[in-house]
Amino acid sequence: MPRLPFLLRVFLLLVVVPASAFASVTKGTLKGQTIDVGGLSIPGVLITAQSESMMGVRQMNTDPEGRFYFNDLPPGEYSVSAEKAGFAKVSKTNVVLSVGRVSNITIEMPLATAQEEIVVEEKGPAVDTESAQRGSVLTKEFLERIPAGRSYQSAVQMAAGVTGGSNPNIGGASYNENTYLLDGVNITDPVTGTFSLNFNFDAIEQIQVLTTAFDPEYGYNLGGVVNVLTQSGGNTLDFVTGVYVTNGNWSPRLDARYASDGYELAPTDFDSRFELYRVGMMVSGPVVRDKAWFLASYSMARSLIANVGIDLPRDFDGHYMLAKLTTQPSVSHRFTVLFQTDPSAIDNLDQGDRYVEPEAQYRQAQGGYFVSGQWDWYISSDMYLETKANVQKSFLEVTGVPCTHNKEIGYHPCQPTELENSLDFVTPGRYGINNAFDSDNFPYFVFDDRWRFNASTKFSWNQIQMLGTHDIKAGIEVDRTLWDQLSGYNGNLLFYDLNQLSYNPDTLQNYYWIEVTAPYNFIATAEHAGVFIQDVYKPIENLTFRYGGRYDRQITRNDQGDAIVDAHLWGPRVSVIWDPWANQKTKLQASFGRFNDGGRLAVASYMSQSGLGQKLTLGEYFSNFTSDVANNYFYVPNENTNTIMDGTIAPRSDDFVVGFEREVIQDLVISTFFEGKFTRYIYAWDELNLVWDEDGYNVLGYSNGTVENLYRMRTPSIARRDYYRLELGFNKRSADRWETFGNYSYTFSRGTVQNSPSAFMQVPQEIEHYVNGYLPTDIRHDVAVGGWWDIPDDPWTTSVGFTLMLESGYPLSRYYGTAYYGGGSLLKDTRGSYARTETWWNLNILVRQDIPVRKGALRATGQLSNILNNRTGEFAGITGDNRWIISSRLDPIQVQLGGEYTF
Amino acid sequence: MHTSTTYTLLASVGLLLGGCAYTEDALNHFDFNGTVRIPVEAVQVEMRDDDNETWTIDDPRAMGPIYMGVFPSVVDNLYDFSHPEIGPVTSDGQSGDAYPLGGNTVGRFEWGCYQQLICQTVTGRYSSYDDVLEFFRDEVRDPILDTNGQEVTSGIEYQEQCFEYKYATDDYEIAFIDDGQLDFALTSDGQYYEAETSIPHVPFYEGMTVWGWADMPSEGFGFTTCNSSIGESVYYYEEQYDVGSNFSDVLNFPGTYIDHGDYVENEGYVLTSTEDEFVLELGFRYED
Amino acid sequence: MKIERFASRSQIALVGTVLLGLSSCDRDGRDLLPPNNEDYPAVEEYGEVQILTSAQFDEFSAADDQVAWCAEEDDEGRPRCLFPMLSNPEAGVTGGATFTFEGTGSSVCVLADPEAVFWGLSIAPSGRVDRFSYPDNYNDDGDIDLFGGLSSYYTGSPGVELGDFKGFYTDSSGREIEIEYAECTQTGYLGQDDAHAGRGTVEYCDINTDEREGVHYTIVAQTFSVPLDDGLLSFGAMVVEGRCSQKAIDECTVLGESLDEDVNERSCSRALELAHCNNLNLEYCCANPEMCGEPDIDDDVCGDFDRDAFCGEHPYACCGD
Repeated sequence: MPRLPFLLRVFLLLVVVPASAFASVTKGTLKGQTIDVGGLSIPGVLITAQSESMMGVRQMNTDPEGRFYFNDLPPGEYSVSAEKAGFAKVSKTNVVLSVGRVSNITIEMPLATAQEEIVVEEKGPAVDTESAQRGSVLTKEFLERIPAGRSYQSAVQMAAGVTGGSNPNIGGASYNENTYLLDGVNITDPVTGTFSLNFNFDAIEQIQVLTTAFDPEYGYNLGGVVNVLTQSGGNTLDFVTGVYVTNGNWSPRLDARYASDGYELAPTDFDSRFELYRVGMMVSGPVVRDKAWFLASYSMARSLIANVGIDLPRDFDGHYMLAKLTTQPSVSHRFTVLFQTDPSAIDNLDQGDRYVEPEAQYRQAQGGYFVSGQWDWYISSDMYLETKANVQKSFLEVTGVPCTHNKEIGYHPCQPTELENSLDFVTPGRYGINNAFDSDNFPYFVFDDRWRFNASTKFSWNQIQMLGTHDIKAGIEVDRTLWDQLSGYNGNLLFYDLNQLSYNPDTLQNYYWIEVTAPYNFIATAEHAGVFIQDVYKPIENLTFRYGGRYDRQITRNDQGDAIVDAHLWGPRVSVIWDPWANQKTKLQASFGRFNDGGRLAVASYMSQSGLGQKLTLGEYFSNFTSDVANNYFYVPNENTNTIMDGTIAPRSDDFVVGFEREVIQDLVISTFFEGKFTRYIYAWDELNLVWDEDGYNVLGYSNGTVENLYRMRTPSIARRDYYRLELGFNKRSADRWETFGNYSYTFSRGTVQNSPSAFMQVPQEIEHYVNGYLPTDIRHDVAVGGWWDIPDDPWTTSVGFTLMLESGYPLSRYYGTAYYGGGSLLKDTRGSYARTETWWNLNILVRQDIPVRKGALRATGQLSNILNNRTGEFAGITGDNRWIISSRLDPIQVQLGGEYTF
Repeated sequence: MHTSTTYTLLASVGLLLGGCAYTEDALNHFDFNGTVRIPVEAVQVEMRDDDNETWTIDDPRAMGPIYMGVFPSVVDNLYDFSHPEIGPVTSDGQSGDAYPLGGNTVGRFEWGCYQQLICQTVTGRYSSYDDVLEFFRDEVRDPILDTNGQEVTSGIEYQEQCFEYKYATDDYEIAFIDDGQLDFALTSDGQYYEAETSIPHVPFYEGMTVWGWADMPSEGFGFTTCNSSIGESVYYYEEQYDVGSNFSDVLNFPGTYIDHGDYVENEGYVLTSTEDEFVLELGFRYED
Repeated sequence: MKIERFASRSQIALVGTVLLGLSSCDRDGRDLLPPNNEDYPAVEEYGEVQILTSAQFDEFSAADDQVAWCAEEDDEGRPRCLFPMLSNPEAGVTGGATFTFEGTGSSVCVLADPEAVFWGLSIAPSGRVDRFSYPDNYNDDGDIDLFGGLSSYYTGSPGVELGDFKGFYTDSSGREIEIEYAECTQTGYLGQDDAHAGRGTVEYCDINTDEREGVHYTIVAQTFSVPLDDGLLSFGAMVVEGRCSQKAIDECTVLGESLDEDVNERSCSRALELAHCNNLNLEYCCANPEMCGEPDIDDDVCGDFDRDAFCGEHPYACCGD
């Protein structure tokens, strides 16, 4: 491979890189050394690496110290061979390369004998003594053998420091502060900050979950990184199809409720509806052998899940399609085009209210598509350039449930004049006060489009010798996101007061209604550019410094084009990793990093200048109501009067990690880490006009002389979180037919606000003592244990896997109505008792059998989920009398049976 | 090669250090700390009962809320006491608006758990339930009666009432009971009751003035700044009433709320920098 | 299976998948909304109107053709009153009509009555009839909100863009504070100053022009909502001498303000108002059930209602024949 002139290298580093863009990690590093039987290094050995994940082969000769190095290889299972005249050829198989990690192997080459080739199964070191990031890499092999729920969202719960549900809290951050990557490309929902795509589980090659101490190239978010890498196909034609059926109908669910003052509400049993159907197929193989490969997958997921007391189950129907074409015209260039789409619809979404009427149900259609192109250029053995561009569109539609003329299947029949599947914009929506009774027509509609355009380039320059070895990476990323939302009401909106005994749904007594203006259209945009540079510096073989930083500028604009947030984000990261005995069995680590939050488009929507006008009109409930004009009055301003943040420090967290890993016995690693994360300047609403009393309980005056509410987004220093976590873990890696892992975290999470942007801070946030307390991520004890075992001497290859999760409860805070809002608005107050929810624990078991058949294999799986699960959802509510209630729901024990055919 | 690497490394380190120094705080909002003083004689409140019998309470527990505001300036030609400058009069029969830039209180109205105590109890004035009982029995001479019209004599009974009506489980939740942390302390010279306070989150304009007054009770132990028809609502069997709270424009139109016996700041404390610590001395007794 | 053959099929499948995904069952929802009527403006300036005397106001109330009565101009070309017709503005933009009058030196009453097309909240009295209790209808009434003040304080561009009556006061620290100079304020049920009447309901306010005789005032009749049936809102508007409280102002004051696209009166809407004014709500709905949103009315409500007899006796309350 030609060596590039010096000037071209500099050009690439300084010009090409900033001119294109940076991307996140999708690769791993394979390195090693060749030695003879006496332990002396052998220079000039031809090393060949090849894998199903990579077309063709990569080759290089070892340097004078016998070292070799392949940077930026796609993750997967590799074989590495070493050849030199006079020595026996040695091949190492099963070299597992994980995303973002370094696999360091040693190849011992005996002198040439009669045996032409020596094949050794490689296990590699159990401890990665060069990387600093904390988290987990979940490989396909692992995910297939443990009860991971066949969704990447549930799989990430296995990592230490991850709590919460399908939108997890990572490292004490809010659920909307994570970054989600698909093959290294940002697919985080630009509005909500949550995941925005669903995948066929079979198409996933690896899931990387990073909790902290990750390199600048991964991004700048306050939470964690979930990086899903998809498979690419290979030279052999593979076909997988499977059916999975899950049922939990036979297991009743318990709705146990008790109130804050110990007053127990009667626990109730409800029949459960829990059905889940998944069908998937995936085909991959060569288009042109060694030149072009393809992968296409489709899966369908349908679920019918009813909450307690609801007749109509939430009906989810999703279709996930992924297609990927990879071409490698030469050994240096590789092009990948990926297309993913996931149109879905959820009917009967309102499962929170026991008394919801069928007609009042609503539907959410969602999904989108994602198209990306990637060019990998292996410029030389030590230089690599990765360039990506992608477009993503997501949509979300919330409407009433469409009508049908088929009375047998329809609970929302069409009017005679209505077309099939029409939405009811005729009947006004009706709601009961206190949500006791939802009836008639779902009143709102939302049509929501979200776009993300992204381009990035990353350049790596490895094995630079200067007082040791340097691997430098630099990159730049630009992206633009757009949110276009149309929302409105189906006619006016009626409310009924159901506390009045005289309420009569036929005569509609005791009601009031809200009149609204035309639908509301809103467009927000954000522009972002980021640049990073990082270096992995090894002054000596067993000491690694990882340092670097990234700078991001993000401007978020409202529908007027005003810059709501103009954030300059700087994130330096430094780690020191030491292998004291230089035997790759021990790692001591200390890391510091600053992480930032550039805001989301939801921030801009709040600061919109044009709003939906509303009028509240009082009905008969108000005793002296007559049709007289004077009593038919009420007014809510029909335009927002929000102002723009005039200066800010963008939210940031400073994160420290110290700890060690040690391979105590063959293949078994134990680890202990301590993390401190200090997040400051979290986004919060700020009311500019109101002057509050000392407890923030009532208003004393209005700065601008009128009652109008003037909101502003800002990042007050008191909006903060302090998070500490002690982690103990073990990991017996996959060897000898079994693998197990486990982690325990002791967490302490305190602060004034959890979410970003925070909603409750809009009440008088300036009163500092208000909101300081334990945060919902203060889950003191958190355990995740899992493992699998392939039963030996079993012709059908039976594998048994399990996961066991435990989370101690999270704190509940008490809320009060303020005098100013007449009790209508809630604010958090440290004056109040404080309680925690119950401890949750959950055991799942998976049994899998591979049965060889002609031209392939049949795989049968049986999974038992939620054995010993004492809840899946727990929430705190406020009753009318200001008690809060904890409700526990025992999710059903589920049985899943699956069959797959592979050839 | 080595040269380029060196440059790269130097650039990285430079960027790193530069980032650590970066700051972006441009908000023009500040918290001002300060002290409020009220002369000891201010807590001498003239009382008169229905039979026209008069007596004097001499007790800091009689103090209503102290209202403090930050205003563009304070003038002395509007009322018989100093008063913040006001804007144009836009409605007939209404004063001009004082447009406060910020404000706070020392103590606030907090309902005392019995209907009788609407607009009569203030936070930071009482250390225990018995303290409240004793004050209303001996000083106000209007003993607290329960819903049956019987005098409440036991602090425990009082506590139960509060827990019942406020859905509380701990005294900590009862805001007008403050164990040992009363708002005011007597100064060492015995001349003033003094409280530390702060006015949070105020935009700074040089020359803006802190001003305030103490709402002292009327002869029947009523407070002009309290509106008995707002606040949280009590629904307890047959009882339905609002528990009262201060009017929400007391800092917009302070002149209309200051009445006989209230103590007013003489001239206001002018803030010249964001570091200033203000001292409010509510030394002027307004007499109708 | 031959790999090449399979691959070509898979390529077709891939293209198919891409096309499917791009369509993604996606839409932006705008097709569900009625289009704006482009034949009429969303913002319009109607010039200066006369100030009606009390006698003229009585004459207007009794007129058979109020539209024609209003169109009569004085020597200066000022109409007596107005029946504007407006279309729906774009989402997020306020639309409405402006007109002016000259201060008389005493109080005047400004009133606007948006069209009442169907039985709706605007005319449903407290003791409404069972079943005919639809609080709203897809083809429901529009809504006008009144604002008014000195023309010199008006910030809008008449006929182009609506404005308000806000000015500024600068305090001694240099802070600029917005001051509301609008004078057509209405008090709500709970005492709010900035209240406005509900949909379809007549709205009115007093403006005291004391010491401002000859000074021009601007009235803004802002469209809060426009009926969806034709995307047009018609309404009647006028200025009358004296205070509103001295006059009988209700749904029966302005009749025939419901105009169709060709500026013809909707007969059924007038009948609706007349029936309402004569306390014949139930009978009206039984006679004209489609106007009450209940074409399938059952006998429980109307019993043995005799439409012919009723219409013979009250012809003004029947329509559609």
